[in-house]
This record gives sequence, structure tokens and C-alpha cells, in this order.
Amino acid sequence: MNRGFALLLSLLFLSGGFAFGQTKYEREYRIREDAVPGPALEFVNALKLEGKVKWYMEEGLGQKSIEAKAKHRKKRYSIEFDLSGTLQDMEVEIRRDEVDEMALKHIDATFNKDFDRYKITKIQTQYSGESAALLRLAHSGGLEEGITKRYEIIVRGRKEGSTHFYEYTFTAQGDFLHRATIVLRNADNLEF
Amino acid sequence: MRKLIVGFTIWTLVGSAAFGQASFRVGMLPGVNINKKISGDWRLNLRMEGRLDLWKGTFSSPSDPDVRYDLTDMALVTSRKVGANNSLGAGYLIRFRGDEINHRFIQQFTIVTKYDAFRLAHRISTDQTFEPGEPWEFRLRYRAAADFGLNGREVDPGEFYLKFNNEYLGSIEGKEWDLEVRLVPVLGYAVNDDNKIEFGLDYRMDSFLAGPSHSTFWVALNWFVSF
Repeated sequence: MNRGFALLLSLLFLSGGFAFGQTKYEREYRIREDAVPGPALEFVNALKLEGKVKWYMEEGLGQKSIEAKAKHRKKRYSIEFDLSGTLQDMEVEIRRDEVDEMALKHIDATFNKDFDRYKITKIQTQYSGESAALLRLAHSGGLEEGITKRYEIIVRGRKEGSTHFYEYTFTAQGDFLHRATIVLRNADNLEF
Repeated sequence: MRKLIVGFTIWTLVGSAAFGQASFRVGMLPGVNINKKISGDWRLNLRMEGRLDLWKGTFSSPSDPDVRYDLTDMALVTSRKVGANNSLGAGYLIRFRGDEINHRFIQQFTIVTKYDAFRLAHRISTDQTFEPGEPWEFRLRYRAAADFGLNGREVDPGEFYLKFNNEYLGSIEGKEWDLEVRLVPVLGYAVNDDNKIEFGLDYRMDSFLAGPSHSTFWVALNWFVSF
């Protein structure tokens, strides 16, 4: 057999050995409903979501959380809990025209200041507070005192010739709170 | 998934059986893909790929298996990010086949979009192949590729994934032109974000527009590493 081919095969087998010895540092994976803490399951059941609920465990650097995802009335819901099942927040994907008009003006002003060109790719309303109040919000739509509402927005922004995706967080009034650059996963295996 | 498998099978059978003299080739296609970020938005991609023929013939009268080393490809492509999720690249490939050496110039544009549960990449590329004593071959290619994590919404370190490629290649050499279609379903394992191994089938069919088709069934084994 040709030497080059033998070398290629050896490299591939070596890569396998090297590959399986590495450390895992961040991941997210599906979990079964029976592995979900009781309070989290009770909260999601009480929401009476229309679509099938999918549960995920998210493991970061020293942090773990549980997330429920489902579609309800044509909107994507994402509900995050800690490992004991205590509600952290509830996110609902919305359209641009569903953002409060005054808040949107402030948000657009921030983006105009930060970028030469931008495009909003995803908007989520994030609610946090007492789980009972969030349940009432989900059923009646009324925003009670004690519930914190924020906007989490993914935007593709171009500044000085460089384009990136960013995640912004704004208050309900559209005041800037936080920004993080989104690091896209390596896509070499799709590009080449 | 079931529809995809049924469709693929029917497509393969129709493509192969419609012509009694349709030919086939079976072999191995191992490759190593090394990616290096040079600076800022620039990257280098080095690909080495070998081809080992195992069996060939026509579907109506297959010959005996015949193991034979066919060729080695080495390609170097440099690419520049031109948007948040797209890049332009250009490069050169050299092919060693026995005593013959072919040269190919490559240009490509790729865009990768992340959806909720999968990623989808579009690649449009052109290439020009030069072989002494032969007319130049020009090709225009389009490829759609998607990968899905088998346990979660994205491919995480330590996770298996499925990847599907579907590519269409139009080519012209002298006065002859052809269309080749490729379907590549593979199973991958992500050691981490920069280290992935893929194993699966690389099915190619060409020559079907003007006569008996020619099918190639490669067993693909690829290692993608970035640093």
C-alpha cells in the first residue's frame, strides 16, 4: 500500500486515541422528565404549555442549570431553573413589533451608537420573580409588581469593517444593561 | 429521517439500475483537515486526502475485488471572514496519481447559519484543474451541509453528531460537460470544538445525463482539527 495512504490512516487512528483522552469543559444535553426536580416540573406543568416540553441540563464552568423548552401559542418558551428546581427566569421569544415602542427607540439608539450597520436576529422577553406571579403572568398576561421584565436581544453588528453577533440585555424601558460577544462554534467541518 | 433514507435508496437504485451498464466503484477515502487561525479574520486550511480502490465494475457484471491505491490530494486554502458567519477563500490543490500530477485552483464562499437545533452551511465554489496534455476542466459547485447534535441542541464536546452533505458539481472539459451529485451522510464525534472525527458514506453519481451512470461508494473517514 502506498506510503502516503498508510501515513494518513495512521494519523487518523492516532487522532482517535488523542481525541478520546481530552477533557470536557462545557456541554448541554437532553434529560428525561423523571430526572427533573419536582418544583421545576410542577411549574412547567402549571403553565399548561401547548407544545411538547424538552428538558436540558446545561453544564458550564462550575455551574449547572436545568432548562425547559417548548412552543406555546406559536411562541418559543425557555424556562430556567437551578438544580433544586427553583425558577431562575422565563424567556419568551417575541417579534420586533411586540417590543414596547419607547423601549425600542432607546434600543435602536444604542445599536446606532454601537454599530455602523446592524440587524436584530432574535428578541426574547425575560421575566424573573416569584414563580406564582410568573404563572399568573403566563395565564393572564398581566405584569405584576415584583416581576422584573427585561429584553434579551441577539444582534448582528458591523463596526469598523468587522461583523460579530452580540447578546444585549436591556431593561423594560430599553435602558442598556449588558452586552456580550457571541463566540460562534467552530464550523470547519461544515465549511471545508 | 426515514423519508431521507427511503429517498436516498430510491434515488440510488433508480440512478444505478436505469441503465444496465451503469458502473460502480467502491473504496476508502481517509482525510485529515488541519485548520489554523493566522491572524484576525484570516485562516489557513490544509487538507490531505487519500483514495484506495477496493472494487469496481458494472452493476450487471461486477469484477472481483481489486485493492489498489489510487491517488493523494493535498490542498491549501486560505480564507477570510467577510461577515459574522461567512467567509471567502481561495487555494490550490495538487493531486498525485501514479506518475501524473494535476493542479487545481479553488475559490469558495461559505455561509454558516445556526438554527435552534442544527447548523446549516452553504458553500459555493469554483475550481479549475490543469493536467499536462489535457484541456482545462472548469467546475461550479454548490454544497449544503448540516450537522445535528445527537443529544442536545448543538454539538458539544464529547457528543456524537450526524452530518449530511448534498453537493452538485457542474463541470466542463473541452467540449464535454457533466453533472455530479454527492450525498454524504456521516456520524461524527466532537472531542471538543476544535477536534472532530467523522465516519460514513460518501456517495457520488455522475455521467447520468448522457448515458449509463457511474456511482462511487467511498467509505469516508475524516479528522478535523483546529489550533
